[in-house]
Amino acid sequence: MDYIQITEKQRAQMLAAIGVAKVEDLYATLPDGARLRGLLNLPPARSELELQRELARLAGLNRPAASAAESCFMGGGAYDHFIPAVVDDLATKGEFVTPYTPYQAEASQGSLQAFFEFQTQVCRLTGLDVANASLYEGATAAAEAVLMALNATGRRRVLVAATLHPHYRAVIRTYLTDLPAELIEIPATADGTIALDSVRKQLELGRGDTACVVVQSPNVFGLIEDWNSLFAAAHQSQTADGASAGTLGVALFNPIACGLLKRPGDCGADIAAGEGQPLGVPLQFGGPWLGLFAARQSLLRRMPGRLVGQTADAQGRRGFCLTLQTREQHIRGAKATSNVCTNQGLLAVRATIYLSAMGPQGLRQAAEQCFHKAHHAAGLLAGLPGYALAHRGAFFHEFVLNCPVPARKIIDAGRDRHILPGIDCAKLGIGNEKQLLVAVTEKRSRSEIDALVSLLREVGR
Amino acid sequence: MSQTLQGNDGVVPLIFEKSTPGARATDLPALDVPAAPLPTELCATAAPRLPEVGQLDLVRHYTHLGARNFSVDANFYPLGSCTMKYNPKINEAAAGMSGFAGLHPLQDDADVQGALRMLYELRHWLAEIAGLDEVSLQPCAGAHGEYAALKVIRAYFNDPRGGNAPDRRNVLAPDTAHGTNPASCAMCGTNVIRVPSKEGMVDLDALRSLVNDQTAAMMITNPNTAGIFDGTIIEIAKILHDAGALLYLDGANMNAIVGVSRPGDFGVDVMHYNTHKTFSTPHGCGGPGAGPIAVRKFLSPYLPVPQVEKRNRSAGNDGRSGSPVASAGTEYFLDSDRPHTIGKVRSFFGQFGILLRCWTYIAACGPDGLRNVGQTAVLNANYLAARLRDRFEMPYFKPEQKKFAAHEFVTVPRNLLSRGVTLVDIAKRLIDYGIHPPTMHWPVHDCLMVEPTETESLATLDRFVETMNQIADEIERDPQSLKEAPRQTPVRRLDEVAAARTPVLTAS
Repeated sequence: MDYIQITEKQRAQMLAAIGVAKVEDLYATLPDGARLRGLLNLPPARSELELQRELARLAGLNRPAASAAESCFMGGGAYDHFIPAVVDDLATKGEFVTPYTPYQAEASQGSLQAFFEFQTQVCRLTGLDVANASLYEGATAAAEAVLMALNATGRRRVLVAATLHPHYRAVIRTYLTDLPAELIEIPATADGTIALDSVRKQLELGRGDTACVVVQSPNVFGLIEDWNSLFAAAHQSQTADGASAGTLGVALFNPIACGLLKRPGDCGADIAAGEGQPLGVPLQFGGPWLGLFAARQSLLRRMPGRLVGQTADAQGRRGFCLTLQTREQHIRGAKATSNVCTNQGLLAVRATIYLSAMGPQGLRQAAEQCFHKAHHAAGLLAGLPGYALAHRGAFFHEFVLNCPVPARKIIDAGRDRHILPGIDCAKLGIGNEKQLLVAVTEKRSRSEIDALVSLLREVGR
Repeated sequence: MSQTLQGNDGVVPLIFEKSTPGARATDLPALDVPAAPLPTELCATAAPRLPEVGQLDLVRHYTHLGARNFSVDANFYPLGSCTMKYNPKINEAAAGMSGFAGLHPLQDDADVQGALRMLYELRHWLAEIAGLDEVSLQPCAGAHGEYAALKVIRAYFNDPRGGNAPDRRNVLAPDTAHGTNPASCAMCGTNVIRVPSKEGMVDLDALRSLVNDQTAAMMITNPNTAGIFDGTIIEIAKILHDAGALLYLDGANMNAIVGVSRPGDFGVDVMHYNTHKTFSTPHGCGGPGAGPIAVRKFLSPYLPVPQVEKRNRSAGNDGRSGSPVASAGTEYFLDSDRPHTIGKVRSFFGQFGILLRCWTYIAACGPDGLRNVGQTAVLNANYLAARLRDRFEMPYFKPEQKKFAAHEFVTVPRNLLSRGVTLVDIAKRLIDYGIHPPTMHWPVHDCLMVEPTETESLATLDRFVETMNQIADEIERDPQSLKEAPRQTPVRRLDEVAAARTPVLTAS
């Protein structure tokens, strides 16, 4: 089924109107050597019923973590949060799924207003002045934040905490190779966070050539980093001749944590970037998700991505349109703030509906329940013989557990009981094979936590 | 059809303006574990200022917003270079299945065999359609695909095993290139050199004079943005290859040749797809997209990690109980062990939900269907061009000289513009008729670039012709009347200059 509506009879009529005998004649400029002889080597077309069966078969070969059947304690940058039914219903409307980029504002007021609401919500979550209408996902948003800091400061060095999610570090690394930039990793302490002293030392070594300090909190171990002191150090750092270095603080944040913890902007961040998946977006094996991005007002004209602004129509009524497009690649080409030409429009709408459905109390409650349930689980698990928390510091909803047996063994044992106990730290590249990264969201019930505790008790014996 | 944005007059208040303290749209179960002491010094003093609305008001708000959008489900979008085709409903149903939507990206390979199999098949299907050897599914969008592909090209030239020519920092791009091409080059630290066009095609003499041992690649869109398949492409490829450089295809217009011609067969070394243009994934008012890249074998070591691979396993070498594929047979896995990779270009593995829609579409079409897609896209475009050429000048569409359009065509309506209307006036008037305006002012000034796509019916195409002619009549009768357009939308023409001069980007 190719979804084409032109019938054979119409085809003949159309060819006649054009004045050619057959459709192949329309490819007159295609050189012979460029013509495909025969058909592509692909499986034959399937009817919709056959396709439905094949999709069901493929889906059946998977074990979905976010499902009624499973208790998901996996996090590591992807979280199983409650998604109200109203989010799915509204965000899957064809009116949001199938429109074009809103260059024709009058024909796109619905999405434009939703993006304006989204930008407002991201500003309110982060405590910063301006937000874009979303980027691809968290790691690329982090890399864009670094590029923006390099351009805004005209400096070369980038300090990145080693406690970033390894994928985020890897993507930033990819984005900086081939550019005049130097990536310096600030090592983690035994406590699982980065030390203020290490950052200060690197800032001094840089002698005013440091563009930004990038710190994720909660970090990859779930621990809360001291953004306040770290960003203050960045702001206070000086060049060799004593002038202010203008080093920027880049906060990588979790939007659910913003329901409870101090916001990036309140902690001195100049730029905040994060993964929007927790805001009503399904796990979907890692994508499509959405990148959150906000900054101080002074950085507005250097921001990557799409911005929606409020304006008025010919009769003075409020309306919305894309704005500051002179930053963008379709106007500026090589001088654009980034090559990003798309946003995650549909997912930004989804996140906006989610945040509006949850409201301030709902988001606060979700964040508090994440905190309380994670701490309850951590207390019980660390009390089991042979188990202990790997770090002492404050955490939000995720923690590393030292185990008496390989994490692999625990994960395998969870299969029979429909529990996904967490992530093997060795596999993610953030610890050893006897460490398990456990996340507990508001979705997990006390009995699910109890079942996890029993599982670990038995496997650890 | 004539679905317009009528019946929804006036401004919809912002969701924040509908906020009533204490209202809730959803709830959570009561906390069922003992509360832990909150680290008050780390906590915000108040919850974020989000709207407080009941569920029905929430539903009405976003239903009203949806009604203020044009969409492919309701409107015709003859939008050149952006390809707004129908998005089959089974694609959406597939992506919504819990067996796919509920997968955590760090689950064991054994728990996600269906997902990995789908990705593996899609990877090979996209290679076959491109006529190239290897595919990476990871890039998040077309421009991200350009970026990843350019990184691959740079890694190849930097590698002693590969091109061993780190000085190749120049990328050639036609003067009609998409704005993303030079922006992607800048992000990779390469220089962009403009290649002039002649009658909508690459000027080969100019190209010859620009190619040298500093050239890494040429980025070309073919069919190009003038709506022409550049028939000198094989020669272009030869000029580049003779100089040791590579040919990159911006796959934005792949829609026109899918199933008819394969880029690998006409000399392309690397290309990206835009899945929404060629494979009917939704545009979503800007995204999500996906931008898989296809490359020749010698470039595959540099592709981003991970890659989905397949191996055979014998019974009993891994006794994980309960695993759906614990028995002997094929096993799919994610391979990150690639020493020459450019690294990661995003977290995890790509726009999985979009790639699944893409798989579903290719599986539905099959080889005959895909060829029909390419051919009908071209047929529909040429039919429209043929019917409109009496009143809308076509610089490149000349059937009597065997110069046909690819899936899109450019018209420069000078006759009409000479009567005191602007292109914007024409565009806004189309909105009144429930048709989304074509792409404007690109690749040449004062042009409309029209692309009907293959999924529109003859009735829709004919209605577009009638509407365009009607607008032409209106211009000849009373050009001033178009200045008022659009009239049938909830807001009238918006002041975009004021929005940029005094940016208001958030609600107060």
